[in-house]
Amino acid sequence: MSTITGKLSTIIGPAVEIGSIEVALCGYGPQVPRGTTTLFARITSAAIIPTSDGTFTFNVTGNDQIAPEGTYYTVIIKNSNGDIVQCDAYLFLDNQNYDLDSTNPFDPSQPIPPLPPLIINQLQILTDASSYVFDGSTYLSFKAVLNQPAFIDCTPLNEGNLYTFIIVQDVAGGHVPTWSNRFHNVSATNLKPNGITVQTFVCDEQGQLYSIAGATWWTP
Amino acid sequence: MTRPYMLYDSASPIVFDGNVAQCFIVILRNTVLRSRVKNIAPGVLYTFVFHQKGEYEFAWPELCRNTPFVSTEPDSTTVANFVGNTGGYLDAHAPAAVSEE
Repeated sequence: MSTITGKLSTIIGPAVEIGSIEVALCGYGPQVPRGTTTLFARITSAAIIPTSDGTFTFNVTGNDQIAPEGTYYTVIIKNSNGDIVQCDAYLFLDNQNYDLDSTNPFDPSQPIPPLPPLIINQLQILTDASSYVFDGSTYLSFKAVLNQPAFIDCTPLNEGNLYTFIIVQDVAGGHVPTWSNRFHNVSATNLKPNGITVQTFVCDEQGQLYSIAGATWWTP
Repeated sequence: MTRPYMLYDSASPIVFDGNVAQCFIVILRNTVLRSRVKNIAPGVLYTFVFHQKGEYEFAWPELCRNTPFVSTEPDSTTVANFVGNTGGYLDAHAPAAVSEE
């Protein structure tokens, strides 16, 4: 969920304006909007009333968690008289906090750029195991810290994605990983103590991972 | 998180559109003498994957620079990664990787 906050005030008279906020999901076209396990039967909110100091908070499902792609939220600000001040569109991403006092609205008339400007943790780290199964549906980079020979796999996967694997030896070193048969053209692993191996793969339409280049090695 | 990809059959005209995908997967069923690329965003990584179904050759678009050889070994897969540059150019930033099944 995304958490949205803000504060209503007035340019005239008292600083607090007990207006209201209404939220609606838009941009889902002819399809029923849906999340990972549900259909959204309700895509509008009742009036959200601020507290006595004008602040408000509400939670919504992030637009990146809703199908079809391309949805956005409209936020209608009403004054205490029930008159609409403005209706703005926003993109809210999952697990993010937004303060509408300082968040720029989204212009739905513009095409969505091919790359979302996300700065989120995309590294999954697993340590000290004999088997690593990384989650390619949530992360794009993976770090395995080996203290023994280990099996490495990655599933589920998204076709077209680039996935980077960082293999780190412990202080002893010498631990050889075994890769699942969905990996192709895997380079040899740096086996030196604390050695680091980095290699990137692309996922094809069959869910197979092909290296895009040879691995790089580094030893501290 | 998904990185948009596009699947191409080499029997049809091939236009790699950076507005549509960042990963282009080509099933090579014939020799491709001509292909195009458009709408390349500077700084974006684009990945090309060629699944070779015979011994066919592939001619890279003119805007792709430092292009690797696409393997003509049957049932091989060639992966080439580029970075978008200004002027709509694609510059290879790593040697291609060839996998032979």
